[in-house]
Amino acid sequence: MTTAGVAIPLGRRGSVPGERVRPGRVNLRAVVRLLVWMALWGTVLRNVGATVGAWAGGSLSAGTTILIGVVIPAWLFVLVPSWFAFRVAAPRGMRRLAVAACWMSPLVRLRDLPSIAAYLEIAADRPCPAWGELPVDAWTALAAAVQADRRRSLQQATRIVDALAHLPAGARFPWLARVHAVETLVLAAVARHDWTTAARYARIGRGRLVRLLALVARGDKGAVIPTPPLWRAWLLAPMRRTTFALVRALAWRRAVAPVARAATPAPVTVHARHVALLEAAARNQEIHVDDVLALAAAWQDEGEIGDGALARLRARALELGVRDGEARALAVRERVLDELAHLLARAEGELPRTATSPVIETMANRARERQIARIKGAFAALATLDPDRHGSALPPLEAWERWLALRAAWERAEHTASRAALATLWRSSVRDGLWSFCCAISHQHGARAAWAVFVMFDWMADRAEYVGDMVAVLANRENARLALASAR
Amino acid sequence: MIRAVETDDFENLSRAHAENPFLVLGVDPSATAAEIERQGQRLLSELAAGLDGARRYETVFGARARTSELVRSAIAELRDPARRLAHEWWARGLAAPSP
Repeated sequence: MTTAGVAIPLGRRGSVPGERVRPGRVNLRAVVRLLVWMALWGTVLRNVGATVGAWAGGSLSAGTTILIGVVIPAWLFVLVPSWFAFRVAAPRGMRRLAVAACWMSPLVRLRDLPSIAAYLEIAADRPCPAWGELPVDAWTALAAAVQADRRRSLQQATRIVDALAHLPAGARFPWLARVHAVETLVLAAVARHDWTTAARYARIGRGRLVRLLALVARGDKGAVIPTPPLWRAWLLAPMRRTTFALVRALAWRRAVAPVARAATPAPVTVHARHVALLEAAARNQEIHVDDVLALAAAWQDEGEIGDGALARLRARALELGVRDGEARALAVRERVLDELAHLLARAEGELPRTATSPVIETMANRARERQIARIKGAFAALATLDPDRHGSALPPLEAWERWLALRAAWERAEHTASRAALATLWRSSVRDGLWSFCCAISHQHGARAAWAVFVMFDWMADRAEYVGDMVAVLANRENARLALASAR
Repeated sequence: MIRAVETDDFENLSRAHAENPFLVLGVDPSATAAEIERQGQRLLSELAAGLDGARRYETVFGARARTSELVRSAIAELRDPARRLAHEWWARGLAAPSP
């Protein structure tokens, strides 16, 4: 099988397996929506104009007339429905009213409404019955991230956020989703005082509250945040009563805390540093390759896993009556090296090309093997779907999340494994398998998966470029273009 | 949906270190088997009596919850000399003062 010259078939917008949605019906809904807008806002504008006109009796200046007759109605028409939906109706549990308000908002596309309704259900911690039938888009992706965050699957939530942060040009990420759905995610992290994750989520967000929480997160990590901009951001943001304590605490800490923070003991032994780094990884905090390499160097320099330490362990094994003392002592060292390799495989940043010590070389080799194994594991999870089979075996959102696992493993491996190893893996299995997977998703779900398929094909084209597979680059760019046309 | 295997791995690794039997029992790594058994039984009785002091133990990363299951598991781990060897090595490192 080859990817050359393959074009994916396009489905109709909104089509679901077993059901053909007539495009005329979609257009009819859009026309009805437009007519309702015109009727409602026309009536409102007429009444406002008539009332103010009768009241003012021609005494208003030109500026005031433009303000009342144009600016305020435009603001009412454009911004108020979504504000009402997400700031008034949804927080009070009136989800149907919120969806109706979204229907009235010109900022919301008609086809986003089912995804917004699903997001509102998930945000309210309620089950979403039609979850498997939903299209993949930024709203449902963020709903999946909220769900993952609530289940403490932080890595999965982070993968989704990372994918949304690196969307290819053309992939829609609505402004309202950036404001309100990302806000839900950031608030979930803030509620458990996980500022590192909150800052990571806030990177894809927009809006005043997300901006304020991102500032507080930066302050919590030690960045110097001047007090006036902090209070200004708080004044402009919604939920001022809730966030007041956070902002006050940060402002107070800036004045007092340097002394208090210095009193917190840092891990002093290499064992404690090792466990501290494992804890940071368990909390899904960012760890850097340099931190792991420094830890490995410390293990070596302090002689804790050297020959002397092993001899002491063997002697102690004899005292305790352990039969295979030699093997047990080696097992202790192996566990340390294995955990270091595990950390290195997880760490951000590139591995040094030349190892400076045997310990680091062993670690790096194990980390590379682990990365390749992780890619193979993620690739195996992409069920062998038949591109020509119709009928939904895997919901589009779940398919996209499975691809995210492969994406994360591959991109991490690009920092550690050699390009030759990845090229071999690409040509031997990943290229054709992933292409089949994308085609199967596209065939089975049509336009519902077009957004995800576009993102996946674009990613495949980039990876093909990385390993120098120019035929696959061209084929996947073309497939991405077709998927994007279907998504629009 | 796919589980976040990697984070879970690190959680397990981190928890395994924090639940080092010597830390759970609050005994020195050089303690004898009799001392370990005695301390374990004392903690079990205190936990059964609901004493607040027994419900937490200190690690270098802060206090952790101590349960009777954790205490029983710690006693069982230290009865095996081979496992004790590894736990002892980590406990010495985690408890050691700065040079």
